[in-house]
Amino acid sequence: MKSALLQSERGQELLATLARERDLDPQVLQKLIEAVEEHSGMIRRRGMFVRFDTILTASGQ
Amino acid sequence: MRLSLVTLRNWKTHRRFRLEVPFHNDRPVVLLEGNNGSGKTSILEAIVLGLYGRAGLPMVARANSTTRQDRSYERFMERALNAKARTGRSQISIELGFVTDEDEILIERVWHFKDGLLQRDDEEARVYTGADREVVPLPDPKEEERFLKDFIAHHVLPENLAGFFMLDGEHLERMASANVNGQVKAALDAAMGVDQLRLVAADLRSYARERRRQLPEDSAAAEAASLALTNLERDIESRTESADRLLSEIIPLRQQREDVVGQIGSLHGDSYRAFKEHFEDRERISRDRDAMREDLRRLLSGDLAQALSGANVRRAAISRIQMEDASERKRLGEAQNLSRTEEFLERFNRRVAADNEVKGAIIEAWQEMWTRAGPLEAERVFSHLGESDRRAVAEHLDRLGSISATQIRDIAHAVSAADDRIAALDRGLASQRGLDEESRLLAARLETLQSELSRTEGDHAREMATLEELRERHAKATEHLATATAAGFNHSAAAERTRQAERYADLIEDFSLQASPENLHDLSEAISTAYRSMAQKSVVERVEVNEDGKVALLDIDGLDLQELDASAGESHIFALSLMSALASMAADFPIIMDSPFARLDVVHRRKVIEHFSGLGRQLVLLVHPAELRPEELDLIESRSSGKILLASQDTRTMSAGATA
Repeated sequence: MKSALLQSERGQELLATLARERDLDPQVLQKLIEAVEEHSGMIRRRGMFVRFDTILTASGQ
Repeated sequence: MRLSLVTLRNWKTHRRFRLEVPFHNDRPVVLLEGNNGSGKTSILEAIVLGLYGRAGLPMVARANSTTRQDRSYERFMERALNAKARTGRSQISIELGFVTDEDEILIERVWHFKDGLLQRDDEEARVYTGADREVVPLPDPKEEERFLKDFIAHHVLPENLAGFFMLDGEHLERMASANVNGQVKAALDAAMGVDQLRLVAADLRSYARERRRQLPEDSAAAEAASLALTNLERDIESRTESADRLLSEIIPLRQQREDVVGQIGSLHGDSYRAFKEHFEDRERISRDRDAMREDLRRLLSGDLAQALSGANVRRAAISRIQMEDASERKRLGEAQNLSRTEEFLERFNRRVAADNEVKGAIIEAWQEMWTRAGPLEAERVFSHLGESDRRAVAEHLDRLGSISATQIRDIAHAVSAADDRIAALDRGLASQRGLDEESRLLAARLETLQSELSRTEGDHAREMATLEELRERHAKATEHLATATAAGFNHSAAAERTRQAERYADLIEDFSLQASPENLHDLSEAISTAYRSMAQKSVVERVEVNEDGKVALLDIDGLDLQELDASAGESHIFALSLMSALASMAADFPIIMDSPFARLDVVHRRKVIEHFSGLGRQLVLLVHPAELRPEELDLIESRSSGKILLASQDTRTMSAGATA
């Protein structure tokens, strides 16, 4: 269940602004959050960290 | 999301119970009506326990109303076992079905008993998804409870939000009478998913720590060097801004001083030039004096102690640092070269065919050449220093040798002489300023300006000195990073990912902090709308929630009506308004209420029914027939997709319009 903070339009705009200030990509952040949600209830760190590797490697290309 | 199925076996008065919950988009209410003892509250309890297991116990009102011993999970479950199932081996099972636009979820929990006693280690849980009821594989038993908690939090409803979607009259009573401020802040954080975001940030930091720990040491050195460089750059930027700001204050102050000096000069005609020259002399000597004072302070507070320690101690420290530096470089070289042993052997083999004995001797010789232990392997005194820091400390200790007591005495004398000269110039300036009122005022103004200017120029000089030192360190750190980077080139991608992960964690935490207050406005609006919708009196103009979660019920004049005593009914309406607002903001989950109308009068009951049935989500109402008047029941039934009458029987399967 996504955080309500992220689901609102205002939240999305704030996130985009903060990400721009830090030279970060809000879409990468969304993917990281989705990775955490999808790995919920599983043995978390094992698959999730590999997923983080993939997302962050792709973001650096 | 809506509740689609409830199946109970041996749960309280329900020996066998199956409810296929009806639903129509235009008629979102489901009414379960039953007399006392028919099992209405038991159904609500079953939903809570079915979702959250042991963690759901605090949310069950009746569990909290018994003695401390009886409040234990085990005792509660044993009391929940249907009376006819208390001999031999038996089970309680609860099955809950939920439907969303994308999926179907079925959660099943089973508790095993022997002669009425709960068998703790035999508690089971299963999750199924999809129309085909595909089993969701569970991890090993140690992880199972955590898996269920996370799965339900993400796919159904987080535990900390349950109290805003599922409640009975007693729970509502507690919400209405408790300190609502404390509830609102915690509820808002839960509703906004702040905890979820914190979890993501924590996971990213764990990931960064784990990956960094796996980096080879040379990459870790490059990472540390890069971090040190970043910190230095941040400091330089900050100090530069500070110095620029001070300079922007200095320039107008100097101009103002010039203006005042000019005004004094114009009062005194020909003597203005002498006055100006005296003044400028005074300023120059004052600046020089301040610089010498700073040098003296630094010598006395820092370097003197080290200088007085004696040349032998300093030389021993320098020698130790140099030995550890050489040892560290050798160790890094060893690591690099040992990792190339195989490569060396392969190249050798291409030139000369060697048998195993020769190969073994070559490997031993190679390793022996690179692994000679040094005297410092067992102990490092300066292990906390990096390469560039070791050099900086050694150079500094070397410079200290040139500090002498004579030098300090000479500086002190020079400062004293400067003070005398400044005092003499001040006397001369005072004699030139004149005794009339205007001169005195200008002199006082000049003194104030000069004091402020001296302080600001002093601050600026210190910032510039610090900047110079930082730039020197930056140059050395850049050099160090280049060295470390060359060694850790192959692992730079992994190091970059750890930095990125931490930056995204910082972003999430900043976002959570900044976004929460903005949602308070939305929450205030939602509570206000709900309250005005359900309250009989329109005295409350609006509800405001501040950053601390403090709630104010404001009338048209801005007076907080909580200062006045509210009736129990009004408190219930507020609690229901809070529930409605948070539910609408937080999650797509049905609202399930058990006997919520007991404390409400006729008008309020109608308003509550209209409000909650108009929220656009499934509303499951468990009510006693006497709780509602016929016209209220008619109102509910007009918006209901099904009415189920409950009675205490052994086996029932319920669907729309069924009667037990």
